Amino acid sequence: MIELQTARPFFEDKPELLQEILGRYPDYGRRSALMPLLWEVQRAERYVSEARIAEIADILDLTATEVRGVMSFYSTYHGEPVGRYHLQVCATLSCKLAGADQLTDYLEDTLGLVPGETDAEGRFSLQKVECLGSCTTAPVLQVNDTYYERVGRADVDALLAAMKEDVLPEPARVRAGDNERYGPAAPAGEEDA
Amino acid sequence: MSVLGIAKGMGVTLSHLFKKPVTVQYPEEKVDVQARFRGRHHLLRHPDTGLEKCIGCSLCAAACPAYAIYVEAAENDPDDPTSAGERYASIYEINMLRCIFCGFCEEACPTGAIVLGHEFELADFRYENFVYGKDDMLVGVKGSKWQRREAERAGRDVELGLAPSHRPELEGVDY
Amino acid sequence: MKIHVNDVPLDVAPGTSVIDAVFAAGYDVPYFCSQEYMSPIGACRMCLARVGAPRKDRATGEWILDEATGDAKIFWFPNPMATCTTQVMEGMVVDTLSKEVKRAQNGMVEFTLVNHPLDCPTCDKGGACELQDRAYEYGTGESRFVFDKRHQEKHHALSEAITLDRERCIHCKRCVRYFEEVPGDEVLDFIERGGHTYIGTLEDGLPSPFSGNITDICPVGALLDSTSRFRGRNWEYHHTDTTSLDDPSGAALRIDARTGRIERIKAGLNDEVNKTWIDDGTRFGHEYADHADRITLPMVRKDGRLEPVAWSEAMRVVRDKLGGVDGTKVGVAIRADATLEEGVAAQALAAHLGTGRLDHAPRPAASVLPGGAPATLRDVATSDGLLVLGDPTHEAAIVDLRIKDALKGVPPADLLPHGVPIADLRLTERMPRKTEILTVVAPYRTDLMKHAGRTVTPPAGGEGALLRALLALAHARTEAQGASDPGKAADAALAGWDDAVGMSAADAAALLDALAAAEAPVLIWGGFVSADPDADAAARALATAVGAKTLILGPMANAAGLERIGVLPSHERYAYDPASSEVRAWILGDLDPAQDPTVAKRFADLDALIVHAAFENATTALADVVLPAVTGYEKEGSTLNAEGRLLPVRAAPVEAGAATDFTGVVKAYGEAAGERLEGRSVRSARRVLKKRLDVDLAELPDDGRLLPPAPAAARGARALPARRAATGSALVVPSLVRIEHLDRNPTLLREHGGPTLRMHPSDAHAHGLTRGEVVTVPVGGIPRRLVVAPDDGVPEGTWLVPTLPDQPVGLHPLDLDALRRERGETAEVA
Repeated sequence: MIELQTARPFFEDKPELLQEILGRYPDYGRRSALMPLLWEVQRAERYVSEARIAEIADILDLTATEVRGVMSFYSTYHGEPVGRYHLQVCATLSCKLAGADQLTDYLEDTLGLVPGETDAEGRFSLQKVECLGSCTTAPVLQVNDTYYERVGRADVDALLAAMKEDVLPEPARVRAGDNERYGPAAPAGEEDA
Repeated sequence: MSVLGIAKGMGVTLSHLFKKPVTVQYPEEKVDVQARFRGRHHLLRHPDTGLEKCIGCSLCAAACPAYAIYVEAAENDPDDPTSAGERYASIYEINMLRCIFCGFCEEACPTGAIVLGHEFELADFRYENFVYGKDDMLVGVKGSKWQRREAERAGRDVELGLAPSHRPELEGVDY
Repeated sequence: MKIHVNDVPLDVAPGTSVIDAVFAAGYDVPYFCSQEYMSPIGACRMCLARVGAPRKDRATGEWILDEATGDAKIFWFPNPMATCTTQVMEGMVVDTLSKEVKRAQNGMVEFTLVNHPLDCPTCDKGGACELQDRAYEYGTGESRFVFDKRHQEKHHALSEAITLDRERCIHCKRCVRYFEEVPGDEVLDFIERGGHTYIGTLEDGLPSPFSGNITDICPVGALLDSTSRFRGRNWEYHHTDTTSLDDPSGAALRIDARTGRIERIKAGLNDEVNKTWIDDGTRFGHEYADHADRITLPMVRKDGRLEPVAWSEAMRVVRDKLGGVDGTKVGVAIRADATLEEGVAAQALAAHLGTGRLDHAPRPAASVLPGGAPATLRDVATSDGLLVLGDPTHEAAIVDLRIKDALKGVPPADLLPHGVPIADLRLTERMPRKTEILTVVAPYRTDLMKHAGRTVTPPAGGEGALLRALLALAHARTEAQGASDPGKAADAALAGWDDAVGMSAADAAALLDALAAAEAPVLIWGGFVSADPDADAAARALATAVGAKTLILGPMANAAGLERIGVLPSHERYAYDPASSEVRAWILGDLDPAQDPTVAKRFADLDALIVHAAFENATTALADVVLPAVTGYEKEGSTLNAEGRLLPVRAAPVEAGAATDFTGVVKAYGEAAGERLEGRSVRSARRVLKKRLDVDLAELPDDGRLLPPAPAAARGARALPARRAATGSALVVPSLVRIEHLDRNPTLLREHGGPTLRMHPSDAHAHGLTRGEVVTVPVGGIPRRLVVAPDDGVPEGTWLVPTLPDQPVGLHPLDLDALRRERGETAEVA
């Protein structure tokens, strides 16, 4: 609540940006600008606070509830600050079958976090998300906007080590049919078996 | 009718003369009841937590063909719950004069909270004394209202005219 | 359009949904998400049926025929269809009985129950639950789901009056859609998605005056009325279908009572009036009726103290007291939410006493009966040009909803054999609203204004000037049309316009153009206009000038009815005025004028003060005889709503001792006086009314009956009340919540907050008042205890105070110098 009184409105100093976004949609479809506006805030602040929700609601003449409803539908938007490296494990069917649960467990144990939490330094946060649309390369771990596909335990270790050095490694792109290169997919939990 | 028939009938009668009588010298002697005997109701508690099983759903009252049961419910205080659910019976009354001891309430109860027990000595003097509330039926209360009044007046324990008996549904009830 | 439902051939209108066709054919399909007055969205997938239709050959344009039979061949849709969102087609065939359909329905029930807790025994909806019923009718009877169910919050207080159990929610979206589609306040939404979806709000409660309706339309026990939480099971309630006496809209109610207490109020269905909606003040404002303070026995003052006595003794005292008073100096006044039958009783009593000082109160200065062209609520809902003067949300809440119906531009659906269509395909989510057809005029920012295309804010008490200016302009423009140069003449007409009335000349011209262009314009006004006879005359003339129908919102439920049957003084001088020194004795029906200290002083000097009241108040404290009154929930009778519809009022079984309505008072008085007065019972009053209105009120249907408008001669011929000077800086405004009962309605008090004193923030600042502070201030003589609520929708210099039955809507003097702060007392402001 303190934030509500002291924080400057996000779009106060960005009138051109605001006009550009609003200009993309006809007047009767003004509420369509909700997604890009949320995205601007999310990208800049890494989360969308209640004050920002209220601000966007005000701009679009919606209620805060509606903004929250839309925002919460997408795992892209966060109501709480997330870490600099936001680890998102796909938990939908294909990835689950390919070992997403073991992957989550391993991340939980290694980082000492449960899904939805951010560590004390604000470096890592962990989240289970719904389908990332990359079933052929399950299990998928998305870090910020980057996909890491078919991640095994060794991949996770390497990835975490790099990120502790503040380096986000290039993902090795894999596609269906690349199996000769990687061999059959090994779920994270079964690797040491 | 032949003489033989009369003799046969008398024979049955005579044979009973030599059997042990079934008559019980109640109240000097205690009465044995069958396990399925339906007497005064008990409101049970969960034996481990001590919480009341009754959740105040009023289904017993709905099932009662004699309209003998009245239930009023209230919301449990989550810090100090009365029953193991979100609601409990704040008032639970059975009018024993109306009750026909059919046991429908017991069958309707989704939590096994109300069970018809074996106590049968319910006679009393005033109408109001036949309306049994929670305090008269919760497990641990022994005897009818009159028996408990008498016992208190005389300063002794309630004594039932009931031989020790048992029914598995009567969890925690001890005769 | 000819279709077949199972074996039944049917002829239905194009655009009908398949679900309605099925019901019209007498068959049944289960459904959860459809609701009669909301858009069908096919969210619950429960109303599945097999649907097929013949097809035309593209090449020839002929129906493709079945070779075996020679009839048109039916092409079945590959999957079962959600019938609520499927429209009928020529020759369509619907199958709701086959094994395949049953399997699909079974599957949906099972799917819906996967995450639904089986706590029916503790659920308040148990026994009246759509899911429970459908699970019995269409379910498999056993569960294959052996896993853990979803766990979510079970006691989420969505607002003070509504409790949400998130585990029970089946995501039918009725409540979310309701807020957007019906009141237009989007205060509830789905949060998260998939199996995690729950409904929630960020608005700190549900800031909508119609929030309670979601508890009625929830098909499961997820949304519950907190006033009735755990109070009883549905089969234990005694249901009374009656009419609300809370405001003049005449909404249908269902009162659920148990063991002499009202446990909850639900909306009734009256397609012509409230559809299935009621406002929160009506729904949650019933707790006072069961309050322990109720007066349940007659009381007579003995040695300065009121002592309970029997009715017969109380009435002997009344007879003896009145016997010593000149009959013409007795005043009889009943409250304006009394039934028509009570009105007849009051008339009979006044006639017997020989007094012309009969009245109902509050009664505005102008008549509340519409003139030649009264508008019904259906007319409002189908209007394409609405001019609203006042605050209908608070004066007659249902009118607010019917205005919002008009903005959607979808006329009410025709009834089908099974009633209102279950899925009206003309309605959609987020319909565009034709706000341009609505103009709202009020001296402060009202709730309805955010839905209006044009808002006008005249100075408080300035409606008269505005209406006269509009009328003059309308006349000038009509004359201009006949002039040699119409354009110039029209400009000339505009030239004299004074913007001080609250709107610009251009706006005024645009408004008149809009009303003139409208095919079915309706003028709606309430207490602000009726408080000023000149404004009322101008409004009526303006309606005639633009050819609009009129709807007048009276101060209380039956004000129009009591005026219609003539519960009025015989002369202007005799109008209800509790401060009058000519009256030597008063018989008051549920009025409390002694809140005003000057009236109280005057009353101390009366020969007799007889008060019929449900609760002790300042007036009963001075009374010689207090007679126990029933509340509006316990009356048998009839009322006339604002549109002129006679509606039945029925008594709920509430334990109230020896309390009666006013007919009971007249009966007991007649017995004591040895007279058989007309109106001594509801039946005898109805005999009188049958002669006068030509309607048998005992035979009124549930949805009421429109009473033809009163002949012009009968209107306005009767006296106007003695008018107090309508000046002052306190504007008493209508209130959806009955302030006089608020203290005894704990749930509503928490939900709504205390009665507020609203002013512009700068006025609050100037007087050092802070938000939430509790103050007592004399308003028109009556000391009012109010919570300070600065509001920038209030014009500077005006202070808004909610109305009481003894403080009618309009301007009253405000004594800010006598304002007293209650130290340390603060309250929540809604």
